[in-house]
Order: sequence, then C-alpha cells, then structure tokens
Amino acid sequence: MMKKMLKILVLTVFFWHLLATCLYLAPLNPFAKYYQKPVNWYMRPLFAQHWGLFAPEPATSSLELHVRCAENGTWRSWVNPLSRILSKHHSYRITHHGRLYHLMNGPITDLHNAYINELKKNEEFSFLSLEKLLGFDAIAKVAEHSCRAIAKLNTATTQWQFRIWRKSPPQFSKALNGGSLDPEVTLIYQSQELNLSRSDDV
Amino acid sequence: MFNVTNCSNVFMIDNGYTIKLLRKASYLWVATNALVLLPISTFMLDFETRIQNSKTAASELIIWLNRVWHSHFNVVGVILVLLILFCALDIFVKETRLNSVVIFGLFYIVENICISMWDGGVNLMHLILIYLVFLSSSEKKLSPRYDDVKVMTNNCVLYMTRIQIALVYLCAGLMKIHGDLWGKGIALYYTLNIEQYSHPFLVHVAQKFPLITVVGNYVTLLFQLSFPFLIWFHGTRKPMLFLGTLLHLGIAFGMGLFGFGFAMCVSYFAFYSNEKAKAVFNALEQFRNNLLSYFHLSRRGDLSL
Repeated sequence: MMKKMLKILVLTVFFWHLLATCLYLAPLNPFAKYYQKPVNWYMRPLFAQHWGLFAPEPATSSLELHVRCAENGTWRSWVNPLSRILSKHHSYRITHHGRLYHLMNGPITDLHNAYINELKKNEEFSFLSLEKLLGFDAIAKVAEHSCRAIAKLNTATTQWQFRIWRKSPPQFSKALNGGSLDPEVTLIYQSQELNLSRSDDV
Repeated sequence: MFNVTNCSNVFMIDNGYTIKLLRKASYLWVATNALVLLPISTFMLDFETRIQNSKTAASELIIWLNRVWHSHFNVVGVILVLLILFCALDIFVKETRLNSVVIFGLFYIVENICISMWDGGVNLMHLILIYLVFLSSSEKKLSPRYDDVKVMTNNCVLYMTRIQIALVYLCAGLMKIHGDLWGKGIALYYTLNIEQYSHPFLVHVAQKFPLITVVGNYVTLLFQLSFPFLIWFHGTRKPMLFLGTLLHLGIAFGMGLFGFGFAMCVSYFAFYSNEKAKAVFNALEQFRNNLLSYFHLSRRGDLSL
C-alpha cells in the first residue's frame, strides 16, 4: 500500500512539473491570466527559464566603445578598451575572454537602448542628460579606468571622453550583389568632457 | 479503471548507465566552466556590485564573508575551486546525492554573484543540476522493497530532462518563426557579422558567400522545429543528435558561445539508451586500460615503435 502511495506521489509530482513547465513556457494567450500566478509562483524561484536564443530577431549591428583622454589640454587618440579582450576571444574560444567581453558589452547595449528610447520620446533629448540613463555609470567607470590604465594619468585636471559607435554590416542584398562590404559606422553618442576625479577604481 | 501498476510500467526501464553518463558529463561541464571563470573571479563580484550596482543574496553573502574575514580574500575563487573539487570527486571517486546537492548549491551561488554574465547554457545546466539531485545512478540499495519506486523516480526525472530539452528547441523555433529576419533567411548573415558572436573568418565567409548563411538559417530553423518531435522515434533520434551536435559545436567554436554549445551537447546524453551509455563507459574503460598499459610498457622500456 505504502509503495503504491509513493508511486502515485512520484507520478503526480512528475505530471504537475511537466504541466507547470509547459504553461510557463507557453506564449501569452487569453487563458494565461487564470494560471500565470500559481505557475510563476512554482517556477520562478528555481525553474525560471527563457529560450529566445537569438529570437525573434537577432542583433543586426554591434556597438563599440571608444575612449580618449586629455593631458594638459591635449587630447590623445581614441582607443577601444575592449578590442584586446575581443581579439583574445577570437583566438582562444575556451577561456574567460568571451564571458568578460559579454559582461563589459552589457552596459554599452543598455545605454544605447536607453538613449534610443529617450530619443523616440523626445527628439530634443540632449546627451547631457544621459547621465541618468541605465548603463551610463558603468560605462563611465570603464572609460575612466581605461583612461587611467592607458594614459597612466591620475590627476583631477585630466579629462576624458567616450563615444559609442554602431557598426552595421553591409545589407544582405549588397553582399549578395557583391557591393561594398565596409560596415556602416554611426556615432551614437559622444560624452562631454569629463574630469577624471573619482577615486573608486575598478 | 486507472491502474497505477500498468501506468508505472512505462517508467520501470533501467536507465542507470544513461543517468551515470549524463551526470558525469554535466559535472565535467560545471568543472570546466568554473575553471574558465577562475581568472575573473574577483572581477565578477566587482562588476555586479560596483559597476552595475545590483545586489543579489549571493553577492551580499560574499561581501559579508569578506567583512567577517576583514580581508580582500577571494571568496568567489574559493567557491569556484570547491565546485571543481566536488565535481572531480563525483566524476572520479564516488557519486552521492549529497555531492549533487552541494554542487547545485555552489553553482547557484556562482550563478547569482554575477547575473549579467549568464547565457542559455547556464540556464540549461541549472535545470539539469536540479534534476541530477533527484537522479541516482548508484547501485546501492537502501531498501530492496522500495527499489522500483527508486527506478520509477529516476525515470520520471530522466523523461522530464528529455522533455525539457525538447521544449528548449520548441520555444526557440516558434519564437524564430515570428521573427522577420529568420523567416527571410537572413538572420544568420547578420548574426555572423556581429563581432561578439562570430569570428573574423566567419565574417569573411558570410560576406563573400551570403547564400551559405541562408542555407544555415533554414537548417537551424528546421532542426529546432523538428527536434521536439523526431527525437522520440528510434529511427530519427541518431540523425537528430548528430545534426544537433554539429550545430552546437559550430555555436561553441564559430560563435564563441562555448558554454551554451557544450551544455546542449552534454544534455544530449539524456537521450542515449542504457545499452549505448554502457558502450560509452566500456569504450572509456578500454581507452583507460590501453593508456595504462602503454605507460606501463614505456616505463619498462618494452615499447617499440
């Protein structure tokens, strides 16, 4: 009897978990409001999942962060602080560089998306107000740290600046017809000149 | 009338070797992942707490441990080393349920220290590690009376793992159908042009021979939509697993998403039959014996080329 009860329990848990997983992953539908609450309550703590995998649309352009620093009023050339990590990631696939690049690229995408959204709402949106947006603090810290590391500068009078480029590949039709294969580069944002005064090094 | 005994017969097949293979491969993935993260262990915590300003219970725990020890002791590094040791213990020495619980606990902490870093591979392995807590491949019998309950539990969890993998593809495939670029066949062209998810060689191939990317696009779409159905039939299982392995090795090395690519390949072991899994272990055993005899002979100087 005990054995039978245990079997029923195991099967009940199995079918409940299967049902909950299917409902959790089901696309939004008119019945969702009836089951969403209990299903989310069960699934979210340990079984949360999302399987977009480059869907519905993959990214069609990549974003690049560039930083430059000024010493005694003279600006150095723009550098991409993440290019070394990306190049290592391309050379060695099973290392931490891929994860590191993905991590550092997150705030650039966040800031870019937030900026584009603000521009959609208000065409007059100035990049001076960008400091409030998601990702700005992170990028500012990365840029500031890169400036310190690259230029070996650490004075309050030093200035730094960053810009974000969007690199779009040539359109598919162009590639198909053997047209120009140079990526299209758009300047998304260039920061004002900021003072290198913070000490919270990363 | 509903008969529990009849219903449970479906779940009474012995899959001990399949579970063992899935378990060892999964823990190998976890150990490799932890090893890869070791060089950036301190940065992971710094990034999440100081750059992203986000705090989870796991990062709070690490910060608290740092405070307790009054030092900049690399707690994340210690957790990663512990994770590697427990995985090695389970793979090479002894499989225990306690090990599975500890490995899942440590993995969960690492996962939550830096949530910005994770991808589908970590998400899938997180689920498999939970299932592994309930899967037992050891032959130790606690009580022979409840043996069939144990086999039944094992099979329920193993079937759930299989269904979970099928659902991954079904969701991804259905979402892709709704995408404009996937439908037109040009999604892969754009993805392979993104430096982060590509390689300079693949960028060159995509731009010089764009039609190859169209074929790749539709093959991916077709594979993801057919896998959840064809994987259950004996005749189509092998080609599906072969095609999937090729696809995911491509994702691992071509797109540089080795965590996701290998996690999917590891999950395929759940679809191996018990006999096939046993054959894999026999082959590994044979390989080990050959290796040992080779070293033994070379030490004695009897090895002739």
